[in-house]
Amino acid sequence: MIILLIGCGTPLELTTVAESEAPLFGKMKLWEIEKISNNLYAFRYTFYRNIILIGDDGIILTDPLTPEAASILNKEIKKISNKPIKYVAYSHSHWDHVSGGQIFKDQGAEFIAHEQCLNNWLDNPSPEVVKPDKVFKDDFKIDVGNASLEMYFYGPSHDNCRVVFLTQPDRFIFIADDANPPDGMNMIYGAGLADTYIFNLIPFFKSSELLARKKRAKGVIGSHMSFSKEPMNLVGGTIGSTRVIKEQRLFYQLVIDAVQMALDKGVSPELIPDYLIKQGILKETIIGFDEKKMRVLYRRITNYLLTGE
Amino acid sequence: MRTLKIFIFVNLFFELSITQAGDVTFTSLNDQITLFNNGQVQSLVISSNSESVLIDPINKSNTEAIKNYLRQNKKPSITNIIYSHSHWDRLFGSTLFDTKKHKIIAQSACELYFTRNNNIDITKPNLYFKKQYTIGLEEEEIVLHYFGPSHGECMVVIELVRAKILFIPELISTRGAGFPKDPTLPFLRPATLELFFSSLEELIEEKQIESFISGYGDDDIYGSVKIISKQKQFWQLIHSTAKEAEENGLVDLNNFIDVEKLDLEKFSEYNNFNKADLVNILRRYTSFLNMGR
Repeated sequence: MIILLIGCGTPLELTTVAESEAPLFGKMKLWEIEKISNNLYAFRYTFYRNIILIGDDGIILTDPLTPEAASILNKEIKKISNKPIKYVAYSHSHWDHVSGGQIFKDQGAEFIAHEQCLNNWLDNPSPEVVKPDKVFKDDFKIDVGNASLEMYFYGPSHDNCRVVFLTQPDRFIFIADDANPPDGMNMIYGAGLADTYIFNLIPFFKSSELLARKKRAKGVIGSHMSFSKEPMNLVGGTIGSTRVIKEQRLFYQLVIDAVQMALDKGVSPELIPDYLIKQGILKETIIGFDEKKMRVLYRRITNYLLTGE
Repeated sequence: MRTLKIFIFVNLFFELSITQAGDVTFTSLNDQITLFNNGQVQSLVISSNSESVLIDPINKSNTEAIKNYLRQNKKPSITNIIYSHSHWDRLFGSTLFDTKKHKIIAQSACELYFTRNNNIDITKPNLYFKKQYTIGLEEEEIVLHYFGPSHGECMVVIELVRAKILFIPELISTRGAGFPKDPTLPFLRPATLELFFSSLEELIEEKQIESFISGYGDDDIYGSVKIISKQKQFWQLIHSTAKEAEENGLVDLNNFIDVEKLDLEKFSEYNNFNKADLVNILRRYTSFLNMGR
């Protein structure tokens, strides 16, 4: 059992209720299910995580991840609750999070996503992604009695349909692929920001921060394992303070500001990555600063500042 | 302003009248179509007896130079401005046009960028279209074709019907199929790229088009449409290589492929081949295979 102090609330107990025998690496298991409250669980499979809400009227699952992950989750969730799986909510459109839902569809679950996600799956369908039964534009609430999942769309960000999840009654925020505890200033995984709508990243995180304040969120649940201080010092990062949302915003803001500063100084766009690396900009600020990745990120942000995309 | 008249052999014999004004070179491709080039990028202005249509008002000084060129050559002033896509670096001259007097045209997927990422130095379009838009200019006809996201969300291909020429602002060089200028592929949309190329090939076949002009300032004026198919094959090769590498377990935790284990010979036939760029290009495609986007 792990006891975590997050935000200014009461200590939170995080209990592993099931885990694989097979390791991922080191002491980290291939998968695990952790109990956050009587209504809320987190399922990690490899580096990915989703959340499970259990209410009087049924179960809400988020992102099925992969067919293998969904199959494990399906088996394990039945050991935790005998309620029906009523809903599957998609966080965004990327296949690495949303594949494998058929096993839940076969049990009658209703699938919910932002409307633009459906367009993405129509443009490029995957046989492993179950298309949503219901889509929405701005926000949506899924209710299963004494637990619910609120979904908020704040414009394009990591893709063009990522939504922020807020669990009730536990008040945890989940933002797929960003804001992973313990720290939002960690080096990001995909430095090329493929499919990212950079122009709306800062407003997206500001809206998420406002949501956290307004709804008095207790913390965030990370959609990915993260690392502490050093790259490859992997930690579960299941839950953490809502501070990581602000840190994630600052991460992007600092990188954008650094590139803008170089452009304002008259540094030629193609030389900006080398210039910023040589100056050691953000080297001490970004945890796990990776020169190779930062070059790609600086280049991407330069392109954004020159073109608007 | 000095004017040179030279004969250049391209596919056909064209008499190309070349005019230099500041850093902009104007090349008259026929009685209606003028290519302008500032050394970095190039685009077209198409004139009839009563109006002119500008594709991409690159920057203020270029747009001023274009207006002067039209005046000095007794061509009508600009009435329509086409935005080939949403990228600011091709649109900074747009503030010299007034939306009350000018039609500023863009594909509808551009609207997201112009409205959500407002830039006061870019005039917003006042006419959006979805699939196709036609401007009749007496003998010439300009058709804007949208084939889905390719280079960014909203790039269009511009067909000059009488001249049987395509203007393709990005993605394809008239110098031949090759590696992209930026290997981090910031704007590439792999999910719909093949459809973009296939639609382009269909248009070429249907309209019997033989050549195209790119938006790159260092390109030759004309390129054979065969290059388009070859460039499509390049992206298909990238796609299949990334897929095979995944199947063969050659992709690491950060989604990079060990290119030393690949057969690089098939890539070496493409212009600007280099291994470091290939690593980044394949990384984008392993992400695509992972995410579907």
